[in-house]
Amino acid sequence: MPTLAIASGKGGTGKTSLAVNLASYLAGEYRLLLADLDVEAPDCAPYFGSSADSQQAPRLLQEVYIPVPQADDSRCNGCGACSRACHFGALVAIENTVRINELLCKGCGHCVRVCPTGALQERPVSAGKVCALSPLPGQAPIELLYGLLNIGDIRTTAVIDAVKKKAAEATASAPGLTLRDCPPGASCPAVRAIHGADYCILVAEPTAFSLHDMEKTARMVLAMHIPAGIVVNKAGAGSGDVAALARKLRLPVLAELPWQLDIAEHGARAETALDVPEMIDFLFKLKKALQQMKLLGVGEGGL
Amino acid sequence: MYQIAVASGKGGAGKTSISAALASWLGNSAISCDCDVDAANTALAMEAVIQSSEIYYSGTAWEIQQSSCTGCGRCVPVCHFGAIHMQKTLAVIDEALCERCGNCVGVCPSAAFKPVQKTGGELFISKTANGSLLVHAELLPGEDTSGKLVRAVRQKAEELATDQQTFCIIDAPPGIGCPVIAALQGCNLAIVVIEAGQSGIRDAKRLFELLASMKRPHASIINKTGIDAGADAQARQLAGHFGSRILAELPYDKRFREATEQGIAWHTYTDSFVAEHSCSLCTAVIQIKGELDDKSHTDR
Repeated sequence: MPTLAIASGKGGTGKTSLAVNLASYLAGEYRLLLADLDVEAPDCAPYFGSSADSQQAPRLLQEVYIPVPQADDSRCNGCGACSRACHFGALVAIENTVRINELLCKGCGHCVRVCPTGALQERPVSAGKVCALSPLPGQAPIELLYGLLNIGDIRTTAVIDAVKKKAAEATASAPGLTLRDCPPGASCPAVRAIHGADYCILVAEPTAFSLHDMEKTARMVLAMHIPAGIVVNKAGAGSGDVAALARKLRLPVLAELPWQLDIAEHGARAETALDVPEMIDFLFKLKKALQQMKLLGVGEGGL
Repeated sequence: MYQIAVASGKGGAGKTSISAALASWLGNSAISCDCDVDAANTALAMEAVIQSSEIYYSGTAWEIQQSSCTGCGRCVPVCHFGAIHMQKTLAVIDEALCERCGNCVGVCPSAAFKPVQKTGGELFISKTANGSLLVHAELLPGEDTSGKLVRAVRQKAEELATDQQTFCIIDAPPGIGCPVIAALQGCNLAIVVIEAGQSGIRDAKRLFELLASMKRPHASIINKTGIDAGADAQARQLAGHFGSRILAELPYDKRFREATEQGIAWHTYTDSFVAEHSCSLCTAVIQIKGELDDKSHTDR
């Protein structure tokens, strides 16, 4: 079963909203895993009842460890090879000791490999977590995985990679469709989150800001040889011409969701909006478009 | 220069609109910095015209010269990021996974890795519609040094600022990671834009925790109120919990978006609803700056 990445460029265009609504809509028909890869600001979980007043508790699946060097000063000869090898400025060799800034270390192992005296050893340092939330009886059968970057940590991509790995393990044992809620932007976290997906759904709103940012992300996705299509969110709220940009990028517009206060209200409360007819029409069109592209099977969802 | 960073955690909370409103109101006494380098929109919001640009070099990356690669495969296992794989008898780097640590280079027996200076993007100095300066940048899609480019943008603003520019208004990226930390580092005041919804509140909470760990003074603006009264109340509670004074609450109203879309400074917008909210927001920022200044004098 394929992996669909949901991305946008600009933040706040409705990636998470699309991810949770699409997941909930498809969950009756397809076995489904939702992977929240926006590990700096993961917001899927509250839609599935993970809050203080809910009995449903997320499970910690994994602490994400980075192999960070630790120096044994008694073995250090002060040659400075480690410090020259480190491209992230994480090590400074001063006389016969090495100062290590653990937060800057990416765990590449370069310093450990070049140390001639074996004074550096790796030890695991946490950069974040991977958590899971399983549905309660009566809830839509959606498995949610999400990552959480530690406060103050900059190793976003390591946490994204760990969530992706867990998602791959989960779908290997129970095949199903994977939806990825990706981070905004077009730099390394977005690249990592989209990498390896079979298709990318780009969420645009009809504003100059959104179109400017989405064009950049769309070009990045196409350069990664991942096919993509656009969905329009908050149609009517703004004067940007999404269709013109879609033509310029030669990408299809898969479906449009109008701006409506009731959909915004559901979002503000972290609720899906499957009771809103326009949302159902939109998701139906999107599902048909995905089926036509053979990204979703018809009547072979594994349920 | 007094540096005010506008941040939010969640994307789309209103950072760019609010920082542009503040910078426009301050006029020539402020220089603006768009630190959201992979989705930069301040230039659009302030109708800025580019005056000059420079190439931003992001550092060294490596390419494998096919003619030199013997296909021994030694580079594959040393890569901790799984970025190198063998394609038949040649090693190939997947740029999307490469962290540019250079660990592979040293194990190659045939010196097949060739260093290349990577262009990471472009840095711009622009003049906004009201004549003030804006420093902004465009990171190339897929580049991985956004924190470094954020520092370059801020440094350029400091170089350009004259005695007249007593404020620097920083539009921070979303999230709480590397480029956000680079945008907040050393700022005199962080303005947290809390979007009044469950996602906005959760993400703002993580930002407050980051600001506490960085020991940066902060104040809050609650944006898009009036959609869900429960969320409005929770947003106020959150600010209170972190001791962040609420400078303004902006109701969800399409007129704010319309003003921003037309590139019109909020305080000059013909609709007094937008203009009044904007002016009271900016006045509140200046007031808290004054109080923080007084406090730091007393502390000294």
